[in-house]
Amino acid sequence: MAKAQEKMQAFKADQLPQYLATLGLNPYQITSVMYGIFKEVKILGILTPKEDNAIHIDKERILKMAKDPLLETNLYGLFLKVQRAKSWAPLFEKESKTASLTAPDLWHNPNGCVPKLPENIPEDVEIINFAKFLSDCGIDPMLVKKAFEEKMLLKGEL
Amino acid sequence: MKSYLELLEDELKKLWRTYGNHHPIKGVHTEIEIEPKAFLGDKLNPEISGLLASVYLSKTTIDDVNRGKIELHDQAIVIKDKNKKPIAIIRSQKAVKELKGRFGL
Repeated sequence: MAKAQEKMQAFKADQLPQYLATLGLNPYQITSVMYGIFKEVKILGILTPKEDNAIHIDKERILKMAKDPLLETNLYGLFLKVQRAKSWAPLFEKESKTASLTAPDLWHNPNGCVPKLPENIPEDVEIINFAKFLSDCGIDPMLVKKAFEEKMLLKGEL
Repeated sequence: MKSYLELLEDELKKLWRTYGNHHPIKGVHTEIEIEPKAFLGDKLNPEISGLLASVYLSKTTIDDVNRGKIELHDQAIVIKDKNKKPIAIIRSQKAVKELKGRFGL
């Protein structure tokens, strides 16, 4: 317990982006982390003990948030809502009880299964052979091949 | 130097900038455009895959149907490779209707 508390770092909100940048995260990952923290602070009221008004979080948790595909997907769903509504209001709406955002520790999927996308993102295109489909759409086949080899991000669809 | 994956993402974004629906969010003093991320987790962003499918279908001709490259069903469009193996399935009624209408089927 004491060890866990030692790992915790406290930030005022305005110091956070600077700190995240020092962790080598890309802009998308930084945005994901900031969104994750925003949700936990705003909706769940954790990470912020009332007494000092700072965000208390450890590096491991930040890195987990940065690589969380479901958090990223939810954030993108939120972008779409803001775009469609032409208003920031959806940012402050509480998620429905069925949304997995209410259980942040379950967001990360250790089995590598693809999380279900939010309902507002259409899923009417099923790509069976991603590389061939991209090539047929005019993307350089060599680039597709090399990108796939470089990172097995899309494994299972090759 | 960019990785191949980043280059692929750039290509997909270029495609989105050319063909995608742009809905900038207008603020009082500025305008923000949210560019979709090409990949969400280990999946292609559905907005990008939908766009790719639209671009593909817009270039499809009746010859592709006759040659079996495209299979038109009531509920879906199946895109096939040279060996007639399916590479993508589009389950959009709007797309099916539009393509059938275009080819007079």
